[in-house]
Amino acid sequence: MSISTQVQIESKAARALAKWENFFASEVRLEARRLAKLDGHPELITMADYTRAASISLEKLAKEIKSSTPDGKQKVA
Amino acid sequence: MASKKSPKPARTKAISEEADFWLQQFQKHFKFSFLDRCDSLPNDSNDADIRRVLVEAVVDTLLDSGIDAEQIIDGIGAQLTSSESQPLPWNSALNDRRITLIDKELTDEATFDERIELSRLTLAMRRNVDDQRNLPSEGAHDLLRKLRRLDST
Repeated sequence: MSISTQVQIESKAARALAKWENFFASEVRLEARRLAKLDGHPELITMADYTRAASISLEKLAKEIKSSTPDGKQKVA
Repeated sequence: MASKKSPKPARTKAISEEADFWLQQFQKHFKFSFLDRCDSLPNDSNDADIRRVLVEAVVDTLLDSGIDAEQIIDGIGAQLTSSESQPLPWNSALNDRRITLIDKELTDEATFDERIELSRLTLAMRRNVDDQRNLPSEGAHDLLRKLRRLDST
């Protein structure tokens, strides 16, 4: 694997992405666990739970991105 | 009417929530450790520099997770050995090298790379010893065959 050094990414941008990824993953896990419990199978979190949880968590992720970016409101609007 | 037996449901492959959580934590710590190290790289760093910090970040994250150094070294050595397409052919030069590395480890002079090398050599040696062709019973079987031949003549 060759890594291109032609394009640079701001360190703070790479960090922000890592934070958002982690935020999204945590939200999906929490939401999926809640859904599995609601559906009566708390012992097994399924693909369906994760799919539904991911859709719900996308909205939370968008809010998180907005709140963590100083000019997020202007850009998203 | 004979009732039709419903097929047995296939066992779902699953991982524990604890393992999933561990994976998430590992990814997070690994990424930030890697990014911290990248910040200290010069602008003209090459692929080799990036690969080096990648390995450093992996090892640091593993250490931070509570796995002890010996387990990491043995794990890396075992993985490298098992992924080799051709097993290392054991010989006296490798044996000498292993002894040198053991001496260095005993006096705390072995580097991380050397400790990985020692782990690989130890595994290669064990593999060689466990090999059917090297089992002492092979000699006993040979002897038995010879004795049977003598007996039949």
